[in-house]
Amino acid sequence: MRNTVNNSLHFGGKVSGTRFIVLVILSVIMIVSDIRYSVFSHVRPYLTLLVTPIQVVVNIPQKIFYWADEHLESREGLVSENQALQTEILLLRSRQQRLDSLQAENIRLRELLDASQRVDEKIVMAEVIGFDQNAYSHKLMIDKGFSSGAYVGQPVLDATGVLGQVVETSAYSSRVLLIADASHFVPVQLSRTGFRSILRGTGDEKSMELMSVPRSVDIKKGDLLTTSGLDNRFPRGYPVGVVKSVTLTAGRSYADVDVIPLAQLGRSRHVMLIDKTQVEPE
Amino acid sequence: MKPTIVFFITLLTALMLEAVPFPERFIWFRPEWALLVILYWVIALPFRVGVGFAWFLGLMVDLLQGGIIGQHSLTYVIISYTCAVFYKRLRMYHRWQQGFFICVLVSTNQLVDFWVDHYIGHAEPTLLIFLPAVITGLLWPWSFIILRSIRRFYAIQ
Repeated sequence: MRNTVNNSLHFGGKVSGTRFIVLVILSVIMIVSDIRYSVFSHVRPYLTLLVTPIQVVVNIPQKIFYWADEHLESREGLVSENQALQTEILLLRSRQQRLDSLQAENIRLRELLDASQRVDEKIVMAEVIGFDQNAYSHKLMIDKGFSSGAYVGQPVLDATGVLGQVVETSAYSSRVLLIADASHFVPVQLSRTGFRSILRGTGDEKSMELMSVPRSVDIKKGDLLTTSGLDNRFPRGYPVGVVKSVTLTAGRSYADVDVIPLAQLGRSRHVMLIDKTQVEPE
Repeated sequence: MKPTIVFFITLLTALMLEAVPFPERFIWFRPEWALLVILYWVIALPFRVGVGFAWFLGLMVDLLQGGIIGQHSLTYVIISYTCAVFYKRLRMYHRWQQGFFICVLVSTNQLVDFWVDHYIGHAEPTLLIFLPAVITGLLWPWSFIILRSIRRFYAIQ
């Protein structure tokens, strides 16, 4: 400590109040310009490059764990897993055959109706490298950035359903806002009746809310909700969630519809980015 | 190793800890790692490590967490400045008293965090926002001992 005092002479020996005031004002200007005027939206991808190495290094233990999980399996385990996968492939193939004929039929019908055709979307696989450590927001980091074609507003899926959308890209990583975040909305369609509404996140990963559902609408527990495509962001027809409960409260004109998201929001390891630039508008 | 490099390694470690994922259920138990480290250096070397470092560290945390840019810079600068002004008094305190002081300061950080998040629209008011401050205060004595031994071993002045 004594040395510090000696050293301090070298630096003026006084805690600078001016520097403090300047930095506080600078920070406030930064906050306001970020919230109000989105000044940093262009610079941010490059600033994020500064912290990308940190995220990559922090992710290494997890990578090692997965690697060990994949490589240190017994022969019997591999054989039985292989068999299970073979069976699944057969199942999926038979379903694919039916899908192919349905798709062909769909295209023919669309031609008859003179509607534009739906093209198969290009899909980019990405790995989750981290979750945002903020109790208020639900976001995750993936290892694909604009160098792999990711763009802001790009829909993200996992194997079971719609996961969210890209809200921020940098060269080698992107941030995905999950559909469960309280600021996220997805236009959806009830696959059974075609009723359209908007699904709102609540900040809880196991519960979402279907907005403005009149009491008279035919909706019940177990109904599947798929993207309606009306936002021109999420392509039509991807599963989003299943209705968990419908509550009718006396005196309220709308039904409270609780929905469980289908995607493994907090647990997905691999996600898919859909390149919507390849899709023609419907 | 050169003292300056060791100093930057401690800051880098703090940033890495900031990026380590915490289980969703324990999200409110996450201490403010970066503050623990920068405040130690501010109190130990108030004329070498000041608000400038705190500001930069806050900026890095904002980029890591994807929050509003400047949010953590602001609170880190305010907290570090308070510690720098009171560094003589703080050094006289017992570790746990220091921890309590840090806990109160970090609470202001949590409040500003909450205000910003509330302003952009996704924060429900809850007293849980002060839990990270308490955890940080409880961890302070241990991080103090670790960082002090690092500082002494590498003679960082």
